[in-house]
Parts: sequence; C-alpha cells; structure tokens
Amino acid sequence: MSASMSEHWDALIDVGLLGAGRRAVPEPPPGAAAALAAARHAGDGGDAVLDQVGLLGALRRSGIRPGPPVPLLVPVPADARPVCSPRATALLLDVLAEWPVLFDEWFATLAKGGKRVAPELVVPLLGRFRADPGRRAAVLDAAGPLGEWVAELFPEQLAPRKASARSVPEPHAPLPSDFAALATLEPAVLAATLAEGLERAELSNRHRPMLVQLLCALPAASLPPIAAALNRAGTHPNTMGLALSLAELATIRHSMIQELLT
Amino acid sequence: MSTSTSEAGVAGSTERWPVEHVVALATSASAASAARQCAVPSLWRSTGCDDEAVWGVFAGTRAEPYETCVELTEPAFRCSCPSRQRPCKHALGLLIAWALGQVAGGAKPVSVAAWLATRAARPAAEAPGTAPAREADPEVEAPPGTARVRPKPEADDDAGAASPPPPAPDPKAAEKAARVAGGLAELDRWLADCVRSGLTAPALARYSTWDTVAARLVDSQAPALANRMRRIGGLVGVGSEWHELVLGELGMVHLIAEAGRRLPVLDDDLADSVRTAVGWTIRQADVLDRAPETDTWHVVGRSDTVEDRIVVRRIWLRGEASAAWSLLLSFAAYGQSVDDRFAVGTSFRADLHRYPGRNELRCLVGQIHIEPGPRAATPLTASLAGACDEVGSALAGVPWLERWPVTVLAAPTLHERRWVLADHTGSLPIVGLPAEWPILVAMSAGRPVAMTAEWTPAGLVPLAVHTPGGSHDVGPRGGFDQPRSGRRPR
Repeated sequence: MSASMSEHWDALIDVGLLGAGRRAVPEPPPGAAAALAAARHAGDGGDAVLDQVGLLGALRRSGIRPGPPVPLLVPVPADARPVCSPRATALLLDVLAEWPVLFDEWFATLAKGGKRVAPELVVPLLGRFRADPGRRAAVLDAAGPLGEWVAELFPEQLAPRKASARSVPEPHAPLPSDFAALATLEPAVLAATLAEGLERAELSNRHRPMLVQLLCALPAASLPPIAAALNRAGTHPNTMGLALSLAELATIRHSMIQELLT
Repeated sequence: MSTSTSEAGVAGSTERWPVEHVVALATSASAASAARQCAVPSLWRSTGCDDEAVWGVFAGTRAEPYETCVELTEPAFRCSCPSRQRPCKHALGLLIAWALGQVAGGAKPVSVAAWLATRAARPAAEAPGTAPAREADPEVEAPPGTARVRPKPEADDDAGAASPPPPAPDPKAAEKAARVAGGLAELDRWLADCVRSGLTAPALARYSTWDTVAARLVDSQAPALANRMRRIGGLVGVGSEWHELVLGELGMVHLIAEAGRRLPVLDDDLADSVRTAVGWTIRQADVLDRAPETDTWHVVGRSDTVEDRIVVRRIWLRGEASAAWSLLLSFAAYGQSVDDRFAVGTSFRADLHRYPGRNELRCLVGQIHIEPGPRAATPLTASLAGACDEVGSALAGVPWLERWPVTVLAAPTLHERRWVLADHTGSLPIVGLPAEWPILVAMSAGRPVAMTAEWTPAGLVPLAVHTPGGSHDVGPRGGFDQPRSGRRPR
C-alpha cells in the first residue's frame, strides 16, 4: 500500500477512535479507492468511514506482506550425540507418568548409551524439576547445549527454584536381607519364587516397595523371564493386580534399557 | 427442480451425443468429474430413452432415489436431488451413460411424459433466452436467500409452466430471509452509530453492549455474525493496537452486512460465502452430495476455541497430491469431548466433500479409504512471503476471512521483546502464544523449522511444529485440559 494510502488508513483510525461526529472524515487519496469511495459515499460520517474502512481493510488484508527481516536467535551449538529413539521417548513418558522410580536410571542409561533426550521433552523436564537440583542437572546433561539455551530464553518458566525438602526424593532404604537374597538367585529361579509367592499370597501389597526395589536392582537380562512369570501368576484375587503391575515394571525397565543402549 | 441450458450447441439433436458434448454442459471441471462418477449403470434403475428424452432413477448412496430426466432437444434438465447446480451431476451422469450407449430405448414413464407436455405447453414469452418475468433487478436490494435469479442465459425451464403450477415460495424461507435482511440492516445502522460516536465511547467498553447486539443477530437468524460480534467485543481495550483491529473488523462486518443484502447480484460462490459468514446453515446431506476430493490428507494443525460455551475444534488438512487446504470443523458443549479421530501428525486417505463458497475450506469426510496413521513425510512448506501470497489471494476473494492456514519454514525469534517468525523474506508477528511455545522454540533450536499456523488479522497463531521425526501439536486448547497426543513417532 502506498504511503498516502497508509496515511489515509491512519487518519481513518483516528476518526474511528474519536468519532466521525467530532472529526471530519478524511478524503481518500486519488485513485481507484477514491473513485469507489466517492461512488459509495451516500450516508453521513459514520457510513462513509465504515465504507472506507471496509474497502481499505480489504485492500490491506489482501496485500499482506511480511515485516522487515530481523536477526535470528543465535542457534544452539551442534550436539554430536544422536537423539534417543521415539520408542525410548515414549518410554520416558510412561516412566514419568507411571514409574518415576525408573527416572534416574532412564537418564543414567541415556548417558551411558551416548544419546540425548528428544528436544520436545527438554522444556517439560526442566519445568518439572526446577526445584530438584540433581535431576535438573541430569536433564541439562541429557539435553546438551539446548538445555541452557532454552532455559535462558524462558527464565520465568525454566530457571531453577530453591529446592524444597518435598521436591528432592529421599534415598532408597537398603533392601531387607531376605529380599536382597532373592536378588542373588538365578533369573528362572527368582521368577518362579516370585510367582509362587504371589500365587499363595505370601507376597502382597505390603511388600510392594521391596519388590519394586528388587526389580529395579536386577540386571536387565533377568527381567523378561520374571515379567513372563508374573504375568502368568496373576490368578490370586488378592495379588493379581500387584503381579500384573510388577510385570509391567519389569517389561518397561527392560525395554528402556534395550532402547537406550542399542 | 429443472433448468434448461441453451448454450451447449447441441439443441435439436436426437442422435446420441459425443461424451465431450455432454461434459461441456458441466458448470465446472469438478462438476464434470462428479458427473462421470454418476455415469455408472449400476447406480441407475428404470432408465430409458427415446428421441425426445432420457430418464432414470439414480439409486446411489442416498436412501432416497432421485428421479432424473433430460429433454434432448433443448436440452433441459429435471432432477429431484437437492443440488442447486444445474445441470446437476445426476442429469449429466445420466446423459454420459446415454451417450456411451448404456441406456436402452423404451416407453416414457407417465411422470416424464407429463413434464415434457408441460414444457411443450409453455408460452413462447417464457422460453429460454427471453428474460424471465421474475428476474431480479440487480440494483434493487432483495432479502438474502430469496430467489437467486441473476441475469444469466439460463432460465428455469419450468418457470411459468401452465401445468402443474410452479411451486409457491416457501413461506418459512421467505420469512427467514426477511428476518436476516432486517437484522443486517439494523446491524449496519448500529455499526455506523459506533463509528459516529467513536470507539472510545464508554458503552463499547462494556461486553454487554456487544452481547446485546449479538443476541439481536441470533434473533435475526445470523448466528455466525453474532459470534463474530462477540469476538470483536472481546478485542476492545486489549493490547496497544486494539482500536485498529476493532475498526478493521467493524469494516469487515460492514462488508458482510452490505453483501448480505445483495445476494442476488453476487456470484454464486461469493453469495455462498456471504451466507456462511452470516450463519446460514447447509444440510450435511447436501454437502455430501457434492463431488468428492479424494486425496491423502495430512493432519497438520488443530485449534480449539470456545465460542458461546461451545468448543469449536478446527482440524487443518493438506492434500498430498492436490496441496489443497481443508478444514474439519466439530463442536462440543463445554466439558464434552470433541472429535479426536484426526490427530496432528497423522495422515489418512479419504473423500472430502467441500462446502459451497469461494475459497471455502470447510469439508465433511466421506468415505475413508485408508484409516489415519502416522504421516510419512514433513508437510509442504512455504517462505513467509509465499505464505503471505497464499493468504492474500484468499483474502482478495473473501476479505472477511478470519483465519487461513499456512505451513512455513521459519525460525521463531525475539524481536524488540516480541516473538516473531522470521526467514530470509521477512518476519510475521506471533499472537496467542501457547503454553507450549517454549517447546516449539526448543524444537527449532534457533533454526528454521516447519510450522503450521493460522493467519489471523492480529498475527499468526502457532498450531504445530513438524520435524522429520513427527509433529508436535501446540495449538490452542480453548480451555480444554486433555492429554496431548505428543510427538508421533514414525
């Protein structure tokens, strides 16, 4: 749009703001718009301003152009580490939602596998662990240069907050000796022992924390037979839910380790 | 319903015509395409022809069959379908089948014979090519939705027929048209009063003022315009440039109100767009009768907004082969779930049926050939200048559009404390920063990234970011708090 047309638009805005009853309606600059406005000019000030605003508004909208180029942000330095697989990302979402006990191991395994976290998860993770310095550091490490870069851009959402006692997880208590002894069994034997204990309801929900801790301490190779045995063990009405839940934990942990290390 | 056409150069012929002659009668390429799909013998029953006419009953997808008849000498068309297009796809499809020798000769049914007799008894003064007595004066305002008579060579072939008499105008439709016209005239007076007293008038700062105007428009059966007025009321006093936005919007509403009172002299597609802007409804069955656009459709954006306690979900689609934009619109009362069949980042192959109107994007999904699944490729992108060209072209046709989708390759960047999208061709402002904006910025890492956004008069509303690994939905949630689909791995 020409400068004169642009000035005319500004003048129309002023009239519209203050009122056509108080300000004279500006005449459009010569040209097609003026001719059309003249042909349409039939009513009083309000009608005339509406006509011109409608006409010029249509012209302005259909002539939309980008604003002047602006400098881009300094881009994030390259990170040579590959992004972990979409499946590993999906597993992290499962971990965050259902099995936070696996969170630290997910990040430790990611680092061990030489990979980085998916970019779209950096912001939610930094936001979630603002008041947990240890886990925030793990996220920043997993995010690489992108973590600090985005945290600086959005300090209100992502800057660290003072750690609260509630936000920092307590360290795990040592595994009771009888459960620690289970960890030394062969995988097949351990699977059978756990399944039998659940079938007979000798293991119940009050043992859940120890069982979870036990499954998190086992080597990855032990997990598939245990998951299979626990899935089959879900027949006792009092322990069926626990068995299936532990089977899911074993499956997720095994998949997580496999995805992050391969 | 029946119409004659005297432009095709085939009048008087009783031999079977070449198919090209039949196709030449179509009003558009898409109409010809739709007609070809109707020229399948299995879709017809009770077909027949003689030297005078071709007839048949179309028993396609609809529960109620359509009786179709074509008089060959003029030619003239009659079909019981609800389509406003003349000749309709059924009449042309029947003619194509006839031209291909797929319609056998036979004796006329009584209804066909009666129609032909009616045509024969028609007074010469009302024959095609003469000005119909009820043709509207283009300069005279007529209520919207009333007889859409325009100075065209075509004329209704049954107009003025001796027997049976032409159907009387639907009193309900006429009443509605008059009510809408009255509402638009009242609205235009109110707009002029606003501008006369100025946008700083205290009354305009009260939302109730706008709500009252909107309520009157609802009473006048102009619900879409009512919602628009409520949206404009929500802009007053918001941001430093609100007065320019509000005045611009009032100008657009003025255009709609003016156009709404001149429907009979507008092009059909523009008149349909005006009806949509006002809020006239169209039956879904009529839309589904329109020619389908078959393509693989990429779901590239979603936005949920709340209007008058109704959640409006917009799903933006891009055709893989056609590159055409389409919109699926769904509604839900607040708190109810909206249609979530089509998640951002997926694709599906289907027939889409487009609503009538110029630059109309809204479609209905017809037959789905391949169910939605993860998309295989990043969608087609444009530069910011290219996107402006797309938007500008659309707005040149329909200036009052409130949004238009674009997929651009651009980098989010901070300029003078405001977020903008930028590339080598320039920059465009971002509005309505979503809660997930930082995620989108992180995914760009400061570099250009494929992103779908809605153009609005105030700026671009980001909807989704697309990477080779999948798409991330960042579109507005409109008060909904439901789990996001997240990144969709391939």
